[in-house]
This record gives sequence, C-alpha cells and structure tokens, in this order.
Amino acid sequence: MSRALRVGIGTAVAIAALALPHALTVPYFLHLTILACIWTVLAQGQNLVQGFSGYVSIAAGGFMAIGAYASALLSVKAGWPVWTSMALAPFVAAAFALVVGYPSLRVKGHYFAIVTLAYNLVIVTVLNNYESFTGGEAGMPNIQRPAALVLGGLQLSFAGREGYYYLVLLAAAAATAGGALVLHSRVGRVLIAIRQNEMVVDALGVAAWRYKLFAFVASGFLAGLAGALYAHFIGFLNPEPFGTDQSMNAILAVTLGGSGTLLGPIVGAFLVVTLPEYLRVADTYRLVAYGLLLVLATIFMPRGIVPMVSRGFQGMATRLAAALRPRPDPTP
Amino acid sequence: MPEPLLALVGVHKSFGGVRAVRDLSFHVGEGEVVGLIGPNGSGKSTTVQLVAGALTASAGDIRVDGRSVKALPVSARVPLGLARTFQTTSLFPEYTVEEQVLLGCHTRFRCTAAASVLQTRSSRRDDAEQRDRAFRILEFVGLADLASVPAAAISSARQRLLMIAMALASEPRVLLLDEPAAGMVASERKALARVILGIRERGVGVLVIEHHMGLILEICQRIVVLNFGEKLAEGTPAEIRNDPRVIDAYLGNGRPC
Repeated sequence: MSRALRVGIGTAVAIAALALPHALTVPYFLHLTILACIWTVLAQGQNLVQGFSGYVSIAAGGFMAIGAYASALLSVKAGWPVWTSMALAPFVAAAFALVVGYPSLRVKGHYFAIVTLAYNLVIVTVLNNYESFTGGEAGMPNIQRPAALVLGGLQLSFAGREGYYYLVLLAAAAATAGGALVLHSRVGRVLIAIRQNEMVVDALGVAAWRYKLFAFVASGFLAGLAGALYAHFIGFLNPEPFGTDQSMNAILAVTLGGSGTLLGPIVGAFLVVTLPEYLRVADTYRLVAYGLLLVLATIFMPRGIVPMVSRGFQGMATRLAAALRPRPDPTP
Repeated sequence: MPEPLLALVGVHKSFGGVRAVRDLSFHVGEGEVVGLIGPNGSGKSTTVQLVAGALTASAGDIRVDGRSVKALPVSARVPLGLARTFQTTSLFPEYTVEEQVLLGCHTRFRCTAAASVLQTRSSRRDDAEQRDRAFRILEFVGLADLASVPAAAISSARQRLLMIAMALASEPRVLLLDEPAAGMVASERKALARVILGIRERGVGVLVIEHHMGLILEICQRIVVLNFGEKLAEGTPAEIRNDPRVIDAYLGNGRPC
C-alpha cells in the first residue's frame, strides 16, 4: 500500500472516530464503543505477549482487575483525585506483572499458560474474599468519573458518555501507538524471533528472558490501564468481570483480529464486545452461536481477520495491476 | 605463552551415572581450525553443548580468551566472543535472510533497546550501520543476492551458510560449527570450506564438529578425536589419518570377533 493511501485511510478513520458520538443516535451503541476501546487497550497488551513473543498468558483479566481495584480503592477509600489514581493504577498492575512474570517466564509453552491461569484464579479469589478491603462479591459502588479538565479555556467534561469516549479513544490510540513503536524496533524484532525459535535467539547472545519479561510487564501495564478506565466508566466494581472468561476474551480478541499485527487487536476487541450483542437475535442460542462462530473463525482464518483481509487486498491489487498492464512482452 | 582463545581444562560431564565426557582438555588458538571428530555417541555433541553453554560442565573449566565461562548462560557467552551454529538447521522461518543476520548483530548495537523503541536519531543511525554490516557478512558467505528472500525459501545448503553468517554477525573470536556440511553435496562443501578458511584468515578460532572426513582433513590444522567421552588422540590431519587407535575406533581392530 502506498504511503499516501495509508495516510488517507488513517485520516479518514481518525475523523470517523472523532465524529462517532454525533453519528450514534442510540446511547447504548456509544456505551459499547467505549467498552470496545477499553478492550482495545487490553488486547494491545495481550498482543505484546501472545502475538509478538508467542507466549499465551491467561492473566489479562487478573491484571485488569488489579488496575481497576487499585484505581477504585485509591480514589474511593484513600480519597485521592481520580486522575492520580487512574494514572497510578497501570503501574500497580505492571509491578504485579513484574513480580509474577519473573518466575513464571522460566517455564515455556502450555506450562506458562497454566501458571498465568493460576494467577488469574488467585487474584479473583482474593478479591472475592478480602471483603473488608474490596467489598467482596457484593462489590464497591460509587466510583467517580474523573474531574473535568480545562484546557485553554475549553471545558472537557468526562461525566457523560461522550466525554469519556474521547478519553478511552485516546487510550486505545496510545496503546496502539506503543505497540507500533515496539513492533518497529529492535525489541519487536527480538520478540517475534522468540516466537519463531527461542533457542537460536539465546545462541545469538540475546537474553531472551529480559525481552519476554518486558512484554509481560508492558501487557500488565496496559491491562491495568484498561481496568482503571473500566472501573471509572461503570462506576461499580465486583470481581465477576475479571475472571478467566475475560482473559479468554483478550486471547480471542488477539487471535480473531490477527495475532502479531497492530490492527488485529483493535478489530478483535470490537468483535468480542459487539458480537455477543448482535447475536441477541439468536435469543437463547446466543452464546451457542457465538461459540460456533469462534470455532469456524479459528478453522477458516487461523491467522486472524486482518492478515486475511490484507492478503486479499494485495491479491486484488496484483490482479488489477496485471489487468491494467498493456500486453505482456512475449520475449522474456 | 598467550592464553588460547578457547580452552577446555579437564572437563567432565555426567548425566546421572552416564559419564558422557571425561577429563577432556584441548584448546583452539587464534586463526586456527580445530576438528572434533569421533564415532557416534563419543561425546562430540555434549562437548559442543558444554562449550556453548546449553549444558553445564560437572567439573573442569571452559575459558574463552582467558575468562572462565563455565557458569555463564548461553546468551552471556556470546558478547565474550563465542558464537555457534546448530547441528539441525535452526533459523527464523518468517524472517528474511537479512533479518536473520540483523538479529545476529544484537550484541553489537551501541544504542539501548529503549532508544530503539523511541526511534532516536542515533538509534536509527545504529540500525543502518548494523544493516550494512549484515549485508557485508552476507556478501562474505555468498548470500547477498538473497538478502530479501524469506529464509524458509532458500536451499538447505544455503540455510547452513546463513547460520554461519548469523553467528559471524556477533563478531565472535571463537566459532563453533556443529556439523556444518550436513546434507551438502561436493560443490556445496567446497564453498563451505572456502568460507571456513576465510573465517580463519580473519583471526577467528574455529572448532568444527563434522562427520565428513574429507572436509575435516582439508580445513583443519589440528584434529581432536573423541571415543567414549574421552580424548583418544590429538594431532595434525596426517597424524590422525595414520593413528592405529583412531582407525581402530572407527573401523574395529581388524581381528575377527
């Protein structure tokens, strides 16, 4: 794709994203879009570990919970300003990821997945049972939205859906930009090499564990950010949405969209948020239909939607170019 | 006497009760090609793994340029000047030929990984310099015209040369070649011999593990013969070829069983 075309498409998408709240007449659609943006942040983090380095972590939901509870507890119980607690929450989640990632990245493949699954279970169990601190299953109400900002005489309020939408859009864009920077750097090259052949990476003098740990901590950071954004959007927290289901959703978003690509997690995040809603037409068979769709998607698009679509476009472009070319020269 | 580039001093390795390598000592000097040969199960592969760091020696010492590397993990030995290739072709199938070598340059980047993520100006210059180096190394092994081809798409003999290029990218002082000629036909082996002799001319010490005796006798100054985990003989190709113990180990003792 030419550079001009890329810039053109990028600008069009940006304008559409900024104008979206005015185009959506049903408030519930905006609500879903906000969730999809939050899930994009989560999925971009998951992509760093799963898509780049090839290690499947089942702890995204747990780190999201840590971010959500950290921000909620700091603002509700400690009385800190919401902006401060939201800004600190990703660091709390990243610190947890560092502590648990260091020992668990010593095991490979399925074992790593199982270890991270255990973390997720432990986190949810603690949140459920440490009632004096977290409110347990009954949850924690009255989590405030961040205060309005005044920028150059312009008042930005986040109390309504529209204002909050721009906040999560910014977060999703920043997470994607961060993923792009990593992907196009030496670090991204090493991470993708780890996915292909970790033994050779070590033999070339790269301490692979450092890069894996970086990816894991960065994904914990983004999951924590997603959690904080979620907590202050919904206004109420209990451990239920952060179980292993949520970690599976993060894995699905990456796999469905396109593992290791930049756009894949965005497409995937929108799918895992909106697809179960659209399938309401299937009524009681909704989740069955969802499951069936996922199975079919994995069988027929194992590399995800984005790589498949971009391959399709490239094939079309080649055919178009061949058709437009005058006449092939018969002599080679 | 100056320290040899690579020295094994009384190295032992046991797996439970099996003593795979026993009291093995030899060295590789600057600009020297040393062959390590022996029948199947004689401990060649274990020796390579011990030197590279994939296994840890039970006793004895391994020194690179006078520094003990015995306790270091694989990746920490590379910056000290030790690089290796693998017995089975081990590459990054999704990467192009050039990208593989670029990854081999990892220990030679001057800028930090963080600078690379933030795409600072000096890191971009660093990256360009490493790409130049990678390309020159590809020219050296004769793969420059395939730089942008995916590594999975080139012939297996070229993949083996590519592994050598990746190892050279870390600017090693000692290079371990684990069966570099596996699966090669005569003409490809000739090209390989030229590359190995070229590496020697750069002052790099080379340890070659190989089954193809023609290649070993052609390129090595010295040959170490292993049998049952012990050093059976060491000497020039001519000495080794005529050593009755070596012939005995490979072909049997000539007496009827």
